[in-house]
Amino acid sequence: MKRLSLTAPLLGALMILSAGCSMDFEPSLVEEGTILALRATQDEANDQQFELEALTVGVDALTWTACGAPWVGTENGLECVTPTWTLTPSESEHKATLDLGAVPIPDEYKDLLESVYVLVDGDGDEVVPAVLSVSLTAAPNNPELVGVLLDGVAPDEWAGTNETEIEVAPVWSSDEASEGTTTSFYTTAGAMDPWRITEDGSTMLTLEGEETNLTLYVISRFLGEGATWTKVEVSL
Amino acid sequence: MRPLFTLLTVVALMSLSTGLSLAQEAPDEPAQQTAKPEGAPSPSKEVPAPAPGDKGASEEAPSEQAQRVTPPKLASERPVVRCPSLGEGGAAKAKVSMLIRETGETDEVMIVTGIDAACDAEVLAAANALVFTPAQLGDAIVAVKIRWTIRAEGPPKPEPPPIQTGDIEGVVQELGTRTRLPGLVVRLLPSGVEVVTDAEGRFAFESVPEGKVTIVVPSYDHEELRTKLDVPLEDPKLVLRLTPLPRSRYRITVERPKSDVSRVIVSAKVASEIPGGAGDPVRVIEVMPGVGHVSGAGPGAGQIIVRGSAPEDTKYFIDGLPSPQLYHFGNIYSILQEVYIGEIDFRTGGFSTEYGNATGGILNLTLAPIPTDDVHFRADVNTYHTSVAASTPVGDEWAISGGVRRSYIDAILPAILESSGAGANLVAAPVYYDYQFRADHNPSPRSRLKLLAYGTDDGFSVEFAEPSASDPSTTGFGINQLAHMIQGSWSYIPSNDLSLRLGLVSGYQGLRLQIGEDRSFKLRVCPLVLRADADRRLSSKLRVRGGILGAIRSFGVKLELPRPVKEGQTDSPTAVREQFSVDSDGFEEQAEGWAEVRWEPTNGFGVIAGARLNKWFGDFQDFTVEPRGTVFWQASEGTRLTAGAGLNTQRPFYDETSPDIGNPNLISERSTYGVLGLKQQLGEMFAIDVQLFAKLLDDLVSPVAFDPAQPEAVPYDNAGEGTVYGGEILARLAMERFNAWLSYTLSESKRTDRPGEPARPFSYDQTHVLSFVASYALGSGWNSGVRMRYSTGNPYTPLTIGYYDSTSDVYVPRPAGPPLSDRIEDFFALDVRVSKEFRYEDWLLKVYLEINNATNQQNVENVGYRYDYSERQDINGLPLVPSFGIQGVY
Repeated sequence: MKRLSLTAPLLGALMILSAGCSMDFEPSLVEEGTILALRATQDEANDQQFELEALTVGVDALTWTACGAPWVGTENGLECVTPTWTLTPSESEHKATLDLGAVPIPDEYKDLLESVYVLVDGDGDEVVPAVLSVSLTAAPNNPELVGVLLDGVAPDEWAGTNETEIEVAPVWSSDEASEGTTTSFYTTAGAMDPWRITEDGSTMLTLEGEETNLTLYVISRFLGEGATWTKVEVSL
Repeated sequence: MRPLFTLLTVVALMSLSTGLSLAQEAPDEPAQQTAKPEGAPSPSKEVPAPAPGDKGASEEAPSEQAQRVTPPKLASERPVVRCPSLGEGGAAKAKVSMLIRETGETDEVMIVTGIDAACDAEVLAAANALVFTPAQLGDAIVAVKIRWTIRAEGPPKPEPPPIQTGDIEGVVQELGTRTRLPGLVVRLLPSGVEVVTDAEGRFAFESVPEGKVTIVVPSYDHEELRTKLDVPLEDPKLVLRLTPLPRSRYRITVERPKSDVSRVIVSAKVASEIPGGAGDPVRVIEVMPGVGHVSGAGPGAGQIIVRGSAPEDTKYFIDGLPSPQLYHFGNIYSILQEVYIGEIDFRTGGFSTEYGNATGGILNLTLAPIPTDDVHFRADVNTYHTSVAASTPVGDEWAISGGVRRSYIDAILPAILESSGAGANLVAAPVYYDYQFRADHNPSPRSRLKLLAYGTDDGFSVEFAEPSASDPSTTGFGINQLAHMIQGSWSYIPSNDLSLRLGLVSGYQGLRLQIGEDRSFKLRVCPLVLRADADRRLSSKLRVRGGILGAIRSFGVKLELPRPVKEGQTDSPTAVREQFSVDSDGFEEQAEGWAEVRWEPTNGFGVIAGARLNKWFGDFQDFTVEPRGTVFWQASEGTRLTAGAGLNTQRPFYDETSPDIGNPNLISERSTYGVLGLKQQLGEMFAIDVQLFAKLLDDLVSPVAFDPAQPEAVPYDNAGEGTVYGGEILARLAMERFNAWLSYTLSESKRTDRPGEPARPFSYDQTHVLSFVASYALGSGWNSGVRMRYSTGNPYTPLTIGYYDSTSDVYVPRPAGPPLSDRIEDFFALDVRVSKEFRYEDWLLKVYLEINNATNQQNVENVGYRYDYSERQDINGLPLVPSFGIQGVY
């Protein structure tokens, strides 16, 4: 008989997935030293140039290292099977420019590249490095997230609350802009429930009642294609 | 003087002729005077009638013999006088003298020798009533005087009643199940005549004298039965129902055939009673020597690990024909109901060239014959499912059967998991269905056709309320695996030295997998497999077997997935792996041939040598030759030694040889094996079986590291190697009510992925595997049993946070140590079973309670991690789960 070879490993993987999604944790509460998101924006005038940006919490210095292949996790750390090159931060440590015309890698690799994988790392051991894959065949597709509403009003109009729950809702550039998006919510205090939503919707920020200030991070993605975020400082 | 002379002469001649004709009544005593009736002729001289051979009269008158004398003849019926005084059955004779007149009437009747007064009167009356044809002298009618004997009898004895007999026919059955019992002695008392029941459990006694008899069936596996009968019987067809002895259910459970090095055969009826198996006989495999712990989650979940091989290295067969699967998801139950399984035939290595394309083991389920005696019905309701099956004979040669099963664990298991804190409240538990239809055609003892149609459908799906923390692109997943197969096998024995077998299987297999919205996998396979085998005994010492197998499979694949993670590779989220899109159809053909010679030059010593040829056509093309051999020696009555060596090859996975995502130029994986076996019987109750095995693996498929400079490079090659060494022990104790077996396997299984790399543990390497099964028959239908399993935990590669992939919003791990350098915690489980049978005349009710994982051990089935790989969060096996079942069998 033809062996259904994928059955066993996939079933196993799925069981792990299912178990993972039901574990007890609070991922929306971010700690210092976290890289929350990376994104690339293609230069409209030069399609060989990409503006790279990082959203971090408590990370000052970032290093940007590009690889022509997916980074491989090994016992010794992360390795690249192609030559790597370092990107120079621009404007601030949280931005860098990827210029494909200046990629310092051998031609045998350059012509075969379909994506560049940029590893962004912080200056502390506690910082988990993040990777952004920049497709060379398709432009980044960053969602049109334009803001966020707190209990239905803009953050600068929001007068605070004595309640322990605040509704947080993304604001999109149009009614259709949220289609296909996955939005993650992070906070420096309290907890978001749900932590992630798909497409249009909202979430609730639950506080313990002792907080005075917090920062909300709302990150929307077309998974595998691009990201957009907004950051809101909230005074309670 | 002249008349007197004439009278005397006539009397003499009459006496002569009468004496001749009435020899028994020849007078021998002097005549007595009697009254002369009225009208009597003139007196004449009375002359005794001569005795036989008495020639005196004729010698006295030779001169008169010239005249013709015709004696009188009795013209009336010869009288028999009834004399009550003679008593029943008595008899006596009376002698009379009388004159026969010319008219033939009698006169002058007188008693010469009487009996008694009453009888004499009757005699005289009878004599007077006699009528004769008168005597003649020449032409003249004359009167003569003669003596005559008349028989007198008492009242007749009453007729003795005729001797009566009767026939006794019957059938011997097991009480409750109506299973007919062949080969049992049936004794008839008081005569002591014995017969043996035939294959259908029938017996017969013919012409049993009437009266009281007792039929005895001496105890064997059943209690002695005594039945008193009065012959002849009103209904000569008896049904004798025997009650089984309260013996352990595992009696004679595990048998290793004489010539196979590593083969175990277990009766399905016995195997279904094993604790922890929830009534499924195939799960007896879990406690067999050489079999590793079958994980309930993660890679290899629910699959059999045989002697350090991967689960896919063991192939499944039903009645010798390949089957796509034998288990439902998660190894919960096999796809055939117990009633359809005859034996579980399991080979862990060193198997015959009859089987191929397997470097692990062979699991073959033989089909149980359909009962031909009567209609049977069976229903089974337990914690996991409800099943029903029925069978009936059709005519003299056919029998048919059908059964269905449906699980409801999907409604029960989530609640159990939630209450146990296992945190799997989002998991939709497996749902499975299956059906079986069987037909047997037995036109003669030498010909048998077995047909089977079966199907199985397993579904398993999860929908997340929120995007998965591990991978937000996964909002749920579902998997569905189904098969609808039909197979037939015809065995024919044209002579005592030759047997033939022809098998055919075809059907449809499908697998659908959906992960989130964007990742899916669909596979359909329609196989057609034909095999023909022959077994020829050339002499008492030489036997040849062989066969051919041809297969063609059409298949279609649609895939939107990354390549699967291979054994030994570090897993990573699907979202960050290269995704492939495949939509292809095709055919694959396979041709195989096998032959082996079995030579037993002396009684107890033999050699089996054979070879198998495998040819693959299609995307994957290869030709392999597998020589194999076995030597066996019955060193003494209780000691048997076996040894085997050979080569097994196995086709790589289909995804590995796919032109789209694999390398069609791969060749078959190879396993060169050697195995030694010793079986020692110690007394009647204890036996031990020791096996040593080794396997050298090469040409194993190994992933090739991605190099963007060589995008056309193959993803897999045959650079992998491996070794497996080990030993196993099977010890069995079989007592009257207590039975047990213990199996222990010590092994080491390693792999080398690339040349020059260090060997690493195999993902399913379990150093120690210990299983113990025991049962005790309490009596009165009560049985109890326990199963204990222990095994070393599987190796795994420890993972830690690698990086956060912002593009896909997932964390990607990296190894925190050498490949497969850690092990999960050892596995331990204790299962307890108690069952009770209620036997009625024609049906049986059985209830059982199993406590699975009675110690509530938190066994780690697979290592899991927090979504960001910052800490381990294992997947545990099921907690303590009580399982209740009830079966009705008619």
